[in-house]
Amino acid sequence: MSVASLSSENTLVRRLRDLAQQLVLPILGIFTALVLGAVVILISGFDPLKAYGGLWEGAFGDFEKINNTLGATTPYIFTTLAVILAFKAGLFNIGAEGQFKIGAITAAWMGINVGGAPFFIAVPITVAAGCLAGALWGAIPGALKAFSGAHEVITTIMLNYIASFITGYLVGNGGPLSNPSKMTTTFPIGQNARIPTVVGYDGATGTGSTDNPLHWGFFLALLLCGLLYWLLEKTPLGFEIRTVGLNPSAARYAGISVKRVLIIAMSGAGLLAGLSGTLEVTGNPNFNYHFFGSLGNGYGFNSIAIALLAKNNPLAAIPAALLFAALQSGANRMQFVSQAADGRQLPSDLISMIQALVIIFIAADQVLRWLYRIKLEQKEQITLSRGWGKVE
Amino acid sequence: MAQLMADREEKLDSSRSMGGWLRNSRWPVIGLGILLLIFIWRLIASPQPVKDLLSLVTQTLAFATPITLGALSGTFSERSGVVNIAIEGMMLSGAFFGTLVGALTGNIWLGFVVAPFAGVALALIHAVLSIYFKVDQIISGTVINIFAFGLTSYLLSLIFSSARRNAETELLPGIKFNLDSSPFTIGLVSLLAIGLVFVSHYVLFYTSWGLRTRAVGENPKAADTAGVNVFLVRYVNVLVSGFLAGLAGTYFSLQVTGSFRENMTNGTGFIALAAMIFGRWTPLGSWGAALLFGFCQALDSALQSWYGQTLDWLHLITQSLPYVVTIIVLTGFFGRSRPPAAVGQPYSKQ
Repeated sequence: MSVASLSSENTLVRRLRDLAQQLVLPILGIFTALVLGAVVILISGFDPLKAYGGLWEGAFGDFEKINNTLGATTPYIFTTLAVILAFKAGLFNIGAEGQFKIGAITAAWMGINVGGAPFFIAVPITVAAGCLAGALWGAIPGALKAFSGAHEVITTIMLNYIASFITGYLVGNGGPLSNPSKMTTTFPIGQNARIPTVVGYDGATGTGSTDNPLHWGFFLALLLCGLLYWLLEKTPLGFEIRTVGLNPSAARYAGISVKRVLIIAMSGAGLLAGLSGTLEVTGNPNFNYHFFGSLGNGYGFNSIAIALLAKNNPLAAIPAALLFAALQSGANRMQFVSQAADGRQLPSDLISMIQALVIIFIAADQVLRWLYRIKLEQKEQITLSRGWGKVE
Repeated sequence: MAQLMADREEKLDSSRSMGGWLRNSRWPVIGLGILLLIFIWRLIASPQPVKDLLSLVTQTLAFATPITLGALSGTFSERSGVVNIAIEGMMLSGAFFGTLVGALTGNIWLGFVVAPFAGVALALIHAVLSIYFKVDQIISGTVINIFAFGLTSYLLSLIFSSARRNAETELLPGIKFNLDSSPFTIGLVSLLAIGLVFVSHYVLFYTSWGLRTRAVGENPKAADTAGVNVFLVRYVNVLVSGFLAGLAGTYFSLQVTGSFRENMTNGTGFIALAAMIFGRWTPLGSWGAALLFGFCQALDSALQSWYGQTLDWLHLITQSLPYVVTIIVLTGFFGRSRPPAAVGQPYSKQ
């Protein structure tokens, strides 16, 4: 009895210590990036403390701001999961942005057309359409990789541009889905196809304040993080995906169909990114329930950053996405409060530089280890830099 | 070491000339032929065929310029065994720092000289991360792309937009001529790019430095045993790669627009990578591929000016064409090409 409780306590202590060890590098990375950011702010002639104070205030200052930040976290969680799922299979999915856009515009199209149906039919159909479209768009680079070895890094980037051209054409001047009275947008989706916000605003009737954009998709995002963790760690499919990611030829010898796994992983990734776009169209009151041309811009690269920060752990995606969303929601406030006497403002683009620095330190943790003299421990590492047009 | 390369060179021999490149893959020729037919049909219908032809040729040369330089950049880096997907970011910073120095000093030539070194600076980060710290080269490249985007956007707002400073420069000179009073220009960077294609070809295939570079990219251990300093060769080639990518950036800002816009390179760095693969990691092949991509873009803008905005779907197709072609190239549909054997693998002495 006492032995058992002792050993379980030991496990707990060990787990906590492991967790702390895993947290050391990300926290040091964020810290170092913020310090470098402060140096940049100083050189630019502003007060770093004031700027970072504004950043915090803008992200978590009051209930409205927190709600706003959580609202901005939602799409990032989905797109980050899209990057993580692909990464586990050894695929570097830079295409979350394109998958997001294709999912979003399909959902908008569906939402406009089924908006008359009761909400318990309209919402699932709209969401399913967006997911399906995203999954199909994601399946393209997966299939290309599986059957021809075309490297997904370039194909997904190319598909991002193509997705942006297609959606741009659809909502552009005179395009098939464009709203003639508004530049580069679709019509708003039907009332019944909308997902309600958590506080204050009722999308279905269009009443209440839109200051609190957090919608129910956030909880779906949390749920999916757990679900993806379970899928990857506890199911045979997850095992196959991870094996292919670590060593495709070993996976092949073990009898795993590498092609099948690649296509499933990329379709799943596309589905998650498509879902992200879908929920922004159907749930976010700030985006007025329609698709517009620039919706989704920047989500792809930011999600890669967040996935790297989360060390490809679906559960860690939640705090990592929250950090990036908070940086973004706080940026305007930072720009505002740090205004110099002569009216010069600290550009909010500083945030994208801090984000890049965070990723440099997290992704290239060799640099951090070198800076802080931390010893290297063995861990599973996926190699991405295989040849561009090569069949393995 | 020459022996070491013989096997590979035999395979690559045919791809070392444009003729070989075309002979090996008939599909791009067929595709190009179809485009040419559209074009010829248009020329016959055109009231001024010579002018239209000339405009298409100069446009093709112009659009192919950054792709050519970017592909050369990729060729040097990858031939030495380092994947460089940061070409896009290096181009962007070249474009920005060219404008920055040019606009602040009022001397465009100073900007033109500084710009490539912005690429070199980022290349140095890439080299240290991927050669010294042995970070995965694709991650390192992606991070540099994000960083370059953030840095240029930040500095653009800080130095120009927020301070309301003039961000315009003059344009670089070029060969100018008139036909029926409509002006045509072939810019300085475009001419340089063509020259550098042949210089690169000579350096890679006819100098001992080129031989060392290729050996390091194929089999660094063997090259090391033969007395080549693998790290030095890789560092220098990645820096050269950054220089060329930075120079490519000047096309956007100093040759064409005379100012800098956020994210103005718009994916050209990635298209350049595809051109490099299409061109089988050779300067001449890359140039051929770059001209094909440039032609697609020139055709897009020509169709726009001939038919106006009325044919939006046609614009969608021609606009997407280079990107679609890039994907098809990667599938190996135009014939499989073999990358340098050691590309992407960090080298460590035991």
